[in-house]
Amino acid sequence: MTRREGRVAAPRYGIVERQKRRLVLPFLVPALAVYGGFMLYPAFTTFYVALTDWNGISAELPFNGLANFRELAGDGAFRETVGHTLWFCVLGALVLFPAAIFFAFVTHGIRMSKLYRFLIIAPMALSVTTSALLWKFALNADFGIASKVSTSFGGGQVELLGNPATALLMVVLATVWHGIGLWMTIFAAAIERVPPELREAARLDGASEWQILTRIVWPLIWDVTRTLLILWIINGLQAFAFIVAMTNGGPLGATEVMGTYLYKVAFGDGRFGYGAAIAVVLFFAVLVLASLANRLTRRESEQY
Amino acid sequence: MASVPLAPLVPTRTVQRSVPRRGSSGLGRRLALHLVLVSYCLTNVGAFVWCVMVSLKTNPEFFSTSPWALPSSVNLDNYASAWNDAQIGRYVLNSLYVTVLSVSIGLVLSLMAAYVLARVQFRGRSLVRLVFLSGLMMPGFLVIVPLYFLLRDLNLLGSLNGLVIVYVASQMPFTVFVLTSFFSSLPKELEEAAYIDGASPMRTFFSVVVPQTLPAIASVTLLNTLTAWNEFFFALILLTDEARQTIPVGILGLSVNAQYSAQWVQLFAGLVITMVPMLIVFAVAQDRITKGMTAGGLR
Repeated sequence: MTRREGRVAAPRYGIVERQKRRLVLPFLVPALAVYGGFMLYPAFTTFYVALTDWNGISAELPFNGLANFRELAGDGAFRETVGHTLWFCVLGALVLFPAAIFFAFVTHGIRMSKLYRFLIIAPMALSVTTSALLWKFALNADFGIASKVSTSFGGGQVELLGNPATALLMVVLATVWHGIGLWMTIFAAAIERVPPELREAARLDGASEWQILTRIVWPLIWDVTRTLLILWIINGLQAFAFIVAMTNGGPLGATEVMGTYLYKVAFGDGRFGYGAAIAVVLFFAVLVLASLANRLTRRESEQY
Repeated sequence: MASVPLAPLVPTRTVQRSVPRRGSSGLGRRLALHLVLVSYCLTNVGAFVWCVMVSLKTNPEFFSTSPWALPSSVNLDNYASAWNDAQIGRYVLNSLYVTVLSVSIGLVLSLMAAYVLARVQFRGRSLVRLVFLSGLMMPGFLVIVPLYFLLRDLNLLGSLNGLVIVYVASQMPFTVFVLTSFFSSLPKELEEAAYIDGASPMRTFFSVVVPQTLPAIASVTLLNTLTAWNEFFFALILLTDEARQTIPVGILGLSVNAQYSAQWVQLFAGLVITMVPMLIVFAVAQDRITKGMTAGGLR
């Protein structure tokens, strides 16, 4: 493709090409230096640190082979965090995707659509800690919304965030509330690309809105859904900020996920080798689950 | 990953409804859907109004009445007190510093790299592209341990400048990705005309190419601003100095302290101060932001 362009172009093009080629080093090196030095280099180093028992103080990194990984395999607390992380991903997907598609679909082509969408996106403008704080107030057992409703009907207080059975779900809800604008926006863009004739034709044939959504729109936005599912897996496995700000892993470790465990092990206990090993496991979990999702959801995309 | 389809950069048409809705049950269902939408949106408005309300109360009032009650009088002292005593002012300035510097430095570096990657043939181009692309999937956790010690050794741990460099590096894959695909979609004619008229590559880049890129620049700048302004993970770990923190980490500290010092109303004044600028940006640049989100769907 690119080679042919070169042949077709006038002879001057060769000079232009050669001139432009002089830009390669000065234009690429600064970006590569910063990205390489502060992302790639630490990323690769993590794989080595994971094979050591480094405490962050000693100048030498004491190599101990796969001992960290063996310890992780037997670490009950870590295994629980893996379960919570996966739960977080699953619960998050179950809440996020229907809600995002719903909001994208109902705000499509209605009056004040922009205003509605603004209000749905707006929480993204808040910092995660602000959002987390608002949710902590709303869920407070003494004066939170659920408790207010319950006591006004003669019930008792409702403990949602301090209850190990519901805490993770509450963190998921807060996370979804904060970030849903991004997902809705991408779904909305996909829905807007669906030719209106298709929907009109279906409507004339007597299809309900639900049928239009599930039979016409949904198959046509399947590719976008896949992309977003993979994106969610990448994000969800890295759950961190809302957990730190809302529960800090509690109650009774019920919301401890891989990310917060890594943070506590490395920066709390000074076990940097062990923390790096968790990072490596997390990285491979992202890689494996994202490509698994990619493979499992692959299907002939519908044309329009 | 390469086979994952990308969401389109620009949504095209919007639907005009030409056929009247049929059936009363359909209408009822539509009303119900609308009700869900409206009540959700009102809740979001309510959350913001509630923050403003609490920020106008006094601390004794906050504790003696229901947290959901209206303030008895308008009390703006909390804002001054939040800005000065609770250090919100300092956090805002720190966040501004980190955001402005990291977004602008990152933009310049990424623009140059993306231009070369999209427009110039050289050996190893696809490898360099892949290297940048791989960063889209790189979790912050994978870099944090060595990064912490790298910054310590460079004497940048706990410094805002260190965080600036980290943000530049961590946002680069996304920025380069979006800008590269934008450059590839631009027609080459203008640029080639400039070359043929004898402009140097540098001159062509800055006075012909960059001006055509402004829409994409606006989108990535807005999204990177949002990311940097609200970034939590790196800021929590790398800003070890309590006097030098950005808004998200600062607010976490304040909310933990508020449980002991009982200074909730100042905290809420602080929340309002930090919310408003970003909300205004969102309201003003909603279209640009949504375009950027759609373009960066892969992030």
